[in-house]
Amino acid sequence: MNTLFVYTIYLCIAGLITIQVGKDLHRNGYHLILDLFDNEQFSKTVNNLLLTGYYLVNIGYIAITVSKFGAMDSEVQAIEELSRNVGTILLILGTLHFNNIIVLHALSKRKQSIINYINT
Amino acid sequence: MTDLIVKTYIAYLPIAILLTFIVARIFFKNSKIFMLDIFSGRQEIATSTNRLFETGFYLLSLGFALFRMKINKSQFTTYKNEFVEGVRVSTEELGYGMQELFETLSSKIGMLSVVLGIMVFFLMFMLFRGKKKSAAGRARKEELQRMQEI
Repeated sequence: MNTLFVYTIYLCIAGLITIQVGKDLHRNGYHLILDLFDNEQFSKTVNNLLLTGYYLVNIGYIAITVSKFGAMDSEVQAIEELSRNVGTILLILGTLHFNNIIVLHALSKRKQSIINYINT
Repeated sequence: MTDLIVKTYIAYLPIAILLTFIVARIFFKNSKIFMLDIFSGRQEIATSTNRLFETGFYLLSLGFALFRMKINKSQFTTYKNEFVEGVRVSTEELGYGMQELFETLSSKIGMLSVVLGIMVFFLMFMLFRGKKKSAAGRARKEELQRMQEI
């Protein structure tokens, strides 16, 4: 099995997933951040910074894992390696994503408690 | 025999992806009402939070499905040691037939659906918890308002 061919497929799949998920999160995360900061300009900036960090981490990780592929002598091994690596990327993305949601939620809760404290 | 292993993968992938999509569609169509309740009727933030959770669900479940796709071949291999004229000759044989195909396929899909079920129950627990919390917060806010009026 041609190794370069597998690498190309891998980079295409991983890049596509990263970009699509990033777009989706960028569009939907804006409302959450806006709820937190109450300032459109500032939340747009924070959103863009988060997207940049996300792209950097993911594309960096994808580039690192290219050298970590195992032996690919046959089709079966190529499919296995491809699926394992793409699966790892998806799992990492999902974990980071839920982590982000939890952090934003915790921040907004803290802000709410401060507001309540000021009001009383 | 590697031919049959490839066939197993080809059968497994569409089933796993379809299962994930169906579960996510059903779950997140119904969780929208919960989200609206949690965010006390603010349509925009409820929709986007729902969508964020949906993305995370897809990522985790498809990631798990792909991560666990590899078939452990040593399970089906039989090793034989034979002595031919005093020299040890070891041979490996991969016994992977139609029966093994169905067995591994069903065990993998079963594992995936169990994990999906656990995830759905966890998310449901989170939704109920959020609903309770937001109701408590709303009650507290009303109380504060009433106290201020007095």
